[in-house]
Formats: sequence, structure tokens, C-alpha cells
Amino acid sequence: MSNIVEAKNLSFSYPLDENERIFALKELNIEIEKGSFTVILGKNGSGKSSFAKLINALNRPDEGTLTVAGMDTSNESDTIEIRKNAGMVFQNPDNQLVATIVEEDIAFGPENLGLPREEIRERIGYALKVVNMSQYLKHAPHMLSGGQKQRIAIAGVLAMKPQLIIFDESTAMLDPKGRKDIMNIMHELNRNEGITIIHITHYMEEAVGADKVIVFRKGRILKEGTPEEIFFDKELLRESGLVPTFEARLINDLEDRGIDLDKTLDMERLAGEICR
Amino acid sequence: MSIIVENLSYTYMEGTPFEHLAVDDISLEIKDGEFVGIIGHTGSGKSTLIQIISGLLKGYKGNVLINGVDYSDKKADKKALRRTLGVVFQYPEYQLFEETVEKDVAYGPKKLGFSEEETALRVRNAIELVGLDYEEVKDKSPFALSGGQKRKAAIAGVLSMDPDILILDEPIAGLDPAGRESFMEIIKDLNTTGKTIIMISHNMDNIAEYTEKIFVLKNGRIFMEGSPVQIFNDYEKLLEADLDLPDVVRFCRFARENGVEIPKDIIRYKDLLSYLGEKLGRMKHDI
Amino acid sequence: MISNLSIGQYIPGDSFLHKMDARVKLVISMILIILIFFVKSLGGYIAFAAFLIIAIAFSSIPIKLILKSIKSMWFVMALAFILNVFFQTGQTLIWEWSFVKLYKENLIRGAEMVVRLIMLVEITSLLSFTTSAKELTDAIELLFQPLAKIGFPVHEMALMMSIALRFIPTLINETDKIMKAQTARGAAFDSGSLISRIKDMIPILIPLFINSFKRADDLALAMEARCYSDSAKRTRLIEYHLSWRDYVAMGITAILLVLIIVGI
Repeated sequence: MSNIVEAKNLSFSYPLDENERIFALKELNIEIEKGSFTVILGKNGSGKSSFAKLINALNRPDEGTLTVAGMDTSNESDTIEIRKNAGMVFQNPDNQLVATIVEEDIAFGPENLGLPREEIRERIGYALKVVNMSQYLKHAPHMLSGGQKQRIAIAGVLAMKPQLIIFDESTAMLDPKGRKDIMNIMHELNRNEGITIIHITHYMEEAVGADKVIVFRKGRILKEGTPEEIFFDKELLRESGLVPTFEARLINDLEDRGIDLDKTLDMERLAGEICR
Repeated sequence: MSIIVENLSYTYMEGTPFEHLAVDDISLEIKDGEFVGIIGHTGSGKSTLIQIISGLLKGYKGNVLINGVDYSDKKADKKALRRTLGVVFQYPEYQLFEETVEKDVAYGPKKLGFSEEETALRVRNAIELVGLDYEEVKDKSPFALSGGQKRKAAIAGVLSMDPDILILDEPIAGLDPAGRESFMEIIKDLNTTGKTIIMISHNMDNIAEYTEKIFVLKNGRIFMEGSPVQIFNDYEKLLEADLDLPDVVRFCRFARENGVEIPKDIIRYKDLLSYLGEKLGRMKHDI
Repeated sequence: MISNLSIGQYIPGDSFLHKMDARVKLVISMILIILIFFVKSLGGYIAFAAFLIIAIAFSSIPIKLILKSIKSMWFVMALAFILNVFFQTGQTLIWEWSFVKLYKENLIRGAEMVVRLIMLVEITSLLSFTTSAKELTDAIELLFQPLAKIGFPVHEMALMMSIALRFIPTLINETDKIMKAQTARGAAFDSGSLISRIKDMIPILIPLFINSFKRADDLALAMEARCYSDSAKRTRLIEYHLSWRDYVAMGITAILLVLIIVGI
């Protein structure tokens, strides 16, 4: 399998004032496999959002290289091609919809790409179907719920037919139902449409079921591994300030009391485990 | 000191095609010093209910009495209502506006007519109460604070009015899990000092962990009412209201299906941990 | 909830007017608005009114809504009437009481003014009822396209307009929230002196501004991420081309134009 995102010694900083710059990312090395589901965890200020913007060529590396779908993000002439291939869904659903009617909003990306009209129509139909919002074609986005707006935002990205979608804390402002919906759609996109997903979040429960979890702290990678490898690493959890899911927390806390259980992230299995 | 709501109804945009009955004949009582949770699916009427209780929505039917006073009465002292009842809205950091944190937190007490000294004292107390360092933040711009600090500063702006009743609408939304816990501990301490807390939350773990009484709303009506133990053990009804169970309760259900006995009154994480710790520890010992 | 208000007044439909090209509707509306002030005779008014009644009939917009939008302008109409009738001198005095003098010419002028205003409101509301915000901004962009050749940012202007329309409900909603939050902190918008009320606006305006800047930043990023750039050659979802309806409408407008100008 080839890598769709490759960071080599990637560093990025932004200016604090005229003289000083703050490092958001320092000498990062990351490989993300095509077709995989990766979750990036970290607290606010860990550099995870800076990384997202670098992938989308909204920011450019200070040092090192970042390759997305075979293109170097430092190369300005590839910018549009990179953004077409690596779509991005942001945090606030309200602040990423541009039009007053759903279909017109979804058309925005394809219009920018200069696609022919029939092709745009077709893609709107496809994108709305994937996010299960077909009946809202002519609706006004501001009348929709937060979760529905976020689904429209996803459809707007899908209409560009990207190979990769980055979700930059796209679940943070939603209610539990909205969050669940968006998580389900992410997994469906990954499974059914073959789209590579990079999901950035500070909720550990959203990392369950991911192929790979990367924990960021202060612009560096603290650890990289499967959800299980991350969730049961008590040292890491303390250091990163992350709070694991109920299941992992219970297993970790019981272990501290001298009770060893099988390390599972599945509640039903865990419940079965304790009656042994 | 209490809140009494009698036969409360409220319709949005009455007489238009968008007409919507948000609160439908609700009656409830909240006693002094209680920690009450209000839960319900989005659109169940929770926010409308607390806005009416807080005197922020007019044109409702029915009565709302705060400590025996009906503040919808034209002659009622509105400032007295603000001194009695504080409201922290969802994403309260969006209400910050002053040049410095100190001035922002002082806005409420000044509006309510407290003296300079009294205001200064209240501001200091409130800032310390939410766990910020007074000397460090007082002259800072509220917009220069980090996300979690902004939230705390905004809440200090409500606490500086020293209300007996504190209403919180989704107070932990958008905070990271570590921030949530430290924040909820502050609220719990406020309750311990005698303040009545009314909290709306989508987070069932949070509700189970902290409240002592719950109202479940559905379609603008009170659908269930009782202690967290009663509410969260009535799964079928809770599902009807389109709500989830707290993780602890969900886990206990699975465990019981597997024949493990867990008392029904365990709905909080710490209780579960110490119960399992003891039970499993003993089993290990026996073997 | 104020947030439930529809944007502009657009009422989706399938009528003759709905199906017309937005550019044609816009141009005809402009012509009509100017033309109103050239109507000089009773015959002219009748022709004009007939034209508008036919337009309403072909719009599938309930007459109630049109009357409602006229009613909402009653104050302006009353003011125009009073100014014209009582604050000018005329020749034929028909009624007098102390310093109040009523002249026949003024009475007619006042009535004319009211009729013109009614027609004006009717034209603009018909346009906004049958044309979506997107169509309108597209129409403006296309009509002004020639200016782009001399460097005028036509597309950017149109995009700005449509984004403004998109965010109006969001901002109304947000204002409502901030107002409630500040009321809960003791601000009083419905009592006190004018100065204290104005002062109480500050805690609303500042957060609103700051949040709007944040929104603008976010939106700019989101648009860039969706491949927006000023140099790219864009296509358009909605195609605009003239149909027989547009030619019919233009024809009737031309007839009206001639009738009014020759002064029937």
C-alpha cells in the first residue's frame, strides 16, 4: 500500500509578534496509508490543527517536506490539485457554508474547479446521497440542525471527489446524536467510498475503530499506534492529559488495584470479562 | 427559596406558518440547594424552559415564581431577579466584551448597582472561584486567554453577581475531557456552598455523575422526573425520549445480563470502580 | 425564533415569473421603477396598474402577501401624502381651517405619490418573491460582466452579496443569544434613558463584531480549502438563458414603455 500523506522532518511555526515565532510542529515524521482511517489526538495547542492546514496547503512547511497524494505541498503550482484531492471539513458548521441553498453550497467546490454543469448536478446528487441528505436539496442551510449542516459541509467536500478528507474537530460543536451521525458517515466514507480519513479530535472515544492513532503534544508526536496501544498506555495518558473511554479507564483503574482484565475497548466484552 | 413553575406553555412565532409549541403545560418545583439536571433531545424545550425561568422570554402562559416572586409582574424588581438567578449560556465566552478580564467580570455587579468596593471584592472572589489567578488575569484582555480560560472568565462574570440560583446550559460543550472534569468540580463546590444548580446537558455521564434530581423533557412536556438512580434504571422509557444511558449504567446492564450482580444504585464511575475493585479483589483473594 | 425567518422573501414556485431569467426580471424592474415617475395621466396609471396586475396573476404569489408588503410601508406613504398635501402651496383652495389649507393640486399630487409608492413596493416585492438570492446575485454579476473588462471586481462583489445574505440569519440568531446573555448579566435594553440604552448596546456589538471576524476568517479558509481562488475559471450551477417567457415579458414592457412615453 502506498502512502497518501508523508511528512519528513516537517516543521511549522507562526509569528507571535514581529520578532518571535511559535513552533506549532517540530520535526514531524508521519506516514498515512492510502485508504486508512487515522485519528490524531491532542489537547488544544498540540499542533494538530496546524497539521491539518498543512495537508490542505492552507499553510506551508517552514522546513522539511509534506507530500500529499504524490504532490509536494511546498509547490504552489500544485495547490488547487492538492486541495481537490485532500478535502477538509472544519469545526464550526455555520462558518463553512457559503450559499443560501443546499445544492448551491455543494456546487461551490465543483464550480471553482470549472466542471461542466451536468457533471456538477451529478456530483451534487451523489454527495447528498452519500451523506443521506437527498431530501434537503433545496433547503436553506440555516434551517438545519448542527449535525445536518455538518453533513452538508461533508457533501460539499465529497462533490470534489477527493481521495482524502481531513476532519478538523468537525464533531466538537455537535450534540451526541450529531456526533454519532458524523462518526458513522466518516466510517462509511472510508469503507464504502475508499476515502482516506484523517480525523482530528480531542475525544478519545472517537478513536475507537481507527486503523491508527497518533497522539500530538506540543508540536511533536508522543506516540503512534493502534487504539488499544494508546488507550492502555497509562503513562502516555497522564503525560498527554487525554481521558480515555469508559472501558479503558475502568480497565486501567482496576489494574491499579491489582485486578488484571483482558484489554478490550468493547463494553460488552468487558462486561463479560468481569464475570469470569 | 425555590423555583415553582405552574402550567407553563410557550409558543414560538405564534400565528405564522413557523408556529411551534416549545413548552407544553409544564409544572415543576426546584428546591433550595438542589443540583438539578434537565435532559432531553434537541428541540425538547429545555432551553426555552430555562429562558422563561430566567425571565428572558416573555409572552408565556402560566406562572413562574422565584422565591415566591413573579418577576413577569411589571412592578417586580428586575435587578432583584438578576441578583437571585444567574445564567451561563452555551459557549459563554462569546459574551466577553471588555478590555480586561477584571472589567468584564465587574459588568454584572456594576449594572446591579453595587458599590465600587463591593464590586471589586466580588470580582476578585468570582475570578478565584473559577480557578483563575486573579493577579495574573485581571489586566489581561479576555480575548487573549486560552479557550478554557475564556470559558472560566465568562462564568466568573455571572458568579460575580453572587446568585443563589445558577442555571447552566450545556456548560461543558466544547471543553476537552480534562477541562470538563475540573470545570464540573467547581460547579459541584458551588452547590456544596448552598447554591441551587440547574444544569442542561446532553452528556449523560455528566448528568449521572453530579445531579441529584432529573427532569426529562420530551416534546415540550415533562416526560420523566426523579432521582438519577430512578431515571437511569428506567431504560425503556429513557430510550423513548431518544436519550442514551450513561456509560456506567450501560456497562452495569451488560454485566447483569452476564449474571454479575451490581446494585441498582450504582450509576457513578467512582461507585462502580470501588464496588468492582472490592468484589473482584475478593474473588481473586478467594482463589 | 427570529432565526426561522426566511432569507429575503423568496417563495419557491413554478410560475411564469419564477421561470423567467433573473437578469430580465431585474432589468424590467429597474425600467418600471424609473418609468413610474414619468406617468403623467390617468390612462398611464391604468395601463401601469394593469401591467402589474397581470404580473401578479402570473406569479402564483398570494395577493395577501403583496398587500402585506404594501401595508408594511404605510408610514412612508402617509408621510409622503402629508408632505405633499399640507406643506406646499397650490392654486385651487378647496378647504381651509386656521393655518391648514387644502389645495386641489396638492391633493392630487399626494394621491399620485401614494399610488407610485404602492407600485414601487409591488414591483420590488414581486421581484424578491419570485427570485432567489442566488439568482439575483448571479444576475447582477452577469449584467455587470462588461465592467470586469475594465478591472471592476464584479464576481467578488456578487460573491460578497450572496455571502452576506447567507449570514444574515446566523447573525440575527447570534445577536439574540448575546442579548439574552447580557440581559442575564443585568443589561436592560427595554428600560432606562436613551443614553443608558445605547451604552447597553456595547456589550452586544463588541462580541458580535469579534465573532464576525472569526467567522470571516473561518469562512475564508473553508472557501480556499474548497478550491476557491480569484484566478480560477469558474463554472456555474444554474444556467441562464433567455426563453420565450423573457421575450414576451420584454415585449409587453416595451409596449408599456411606449404608451407611457407618448403620454396616453
